[in-house]
Amino acid sequence: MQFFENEIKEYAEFAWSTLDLKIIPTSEQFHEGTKNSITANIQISGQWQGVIAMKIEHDLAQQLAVKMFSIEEKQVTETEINDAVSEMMNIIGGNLKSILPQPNQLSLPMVDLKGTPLHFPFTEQRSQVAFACAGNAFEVTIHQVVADKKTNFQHPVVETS
Amino acid sequence: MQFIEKEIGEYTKNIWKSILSLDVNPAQNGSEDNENNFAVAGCIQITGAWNGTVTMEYPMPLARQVASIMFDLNGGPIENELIQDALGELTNMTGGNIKSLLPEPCFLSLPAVAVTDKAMRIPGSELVSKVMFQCNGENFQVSLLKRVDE
Repeated sequence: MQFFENEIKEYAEFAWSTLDLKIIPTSEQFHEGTKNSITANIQISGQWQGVIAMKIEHDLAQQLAVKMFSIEEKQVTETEINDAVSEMMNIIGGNLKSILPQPNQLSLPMVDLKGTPLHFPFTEQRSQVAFACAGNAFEVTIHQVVADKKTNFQHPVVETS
Repeated sequence: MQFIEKEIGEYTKNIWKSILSLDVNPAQNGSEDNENNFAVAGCIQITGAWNGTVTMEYPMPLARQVASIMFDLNGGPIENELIQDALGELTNMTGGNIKSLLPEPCFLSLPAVAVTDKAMRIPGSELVSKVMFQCNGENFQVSLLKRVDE
């Protein structure tokens, strides 16, 4: 069992259910590049430090926007997709935040509509859970800051003249 | 003069000198072709009284050189992970210093790094400074983007 695997499933199911969408956890890995994908992440800092990240196929993100804003598919722009993915990231991140060591703070979500694969230095991936939803896929991963990888992980203020 | 352009220039120069012993000099803002050579991009978010993102982008030859110096690899093989860690470190230091100039309280996120042939895009923000540098014949850039209030 991976780190908070059950909770990731529970919170993702909850987030999707608010839009009347059913998701199924799957053992198939999310394949980047096969379809247009979108990446998103939200950070938690404080007593627990790390990143919750999500990769989601564009068609599914579009479906989220349709449901969330009660609009037609043809009315969906990048703004609605960005907002819909941000909101889902916020719900999953916010729920995970509440079960991690306190106090901790949640950042604002960050979404990349081009799906640029992001790496999070000084962290290790602790969980990876993939889901299927109406023929599309998405996955949620948790990356925790690892103390021994934080070599020179300081940001001393450098004097300016 | 762009927003805190002088400070970005000085912090970057001092960080690269003190951490990597490399001299960097200001360069002219590059052409699109030049920017397309930036194969690795790092970003770090600042949230609080000021909201935005600091990005650092450079080409792969410089990325290898930076990782090699930072992790004492002495010309040995360089794993992608070390290239990412090195850029994460520099982005973190640059972001931390820029944060100190911004209204308080502000919080710095963890850095995120992309190895990509596409320019990094931060939706919902506008570029307030872009400063180009040159180091050992390679250009790199540091940008500051401010979140646009909707």
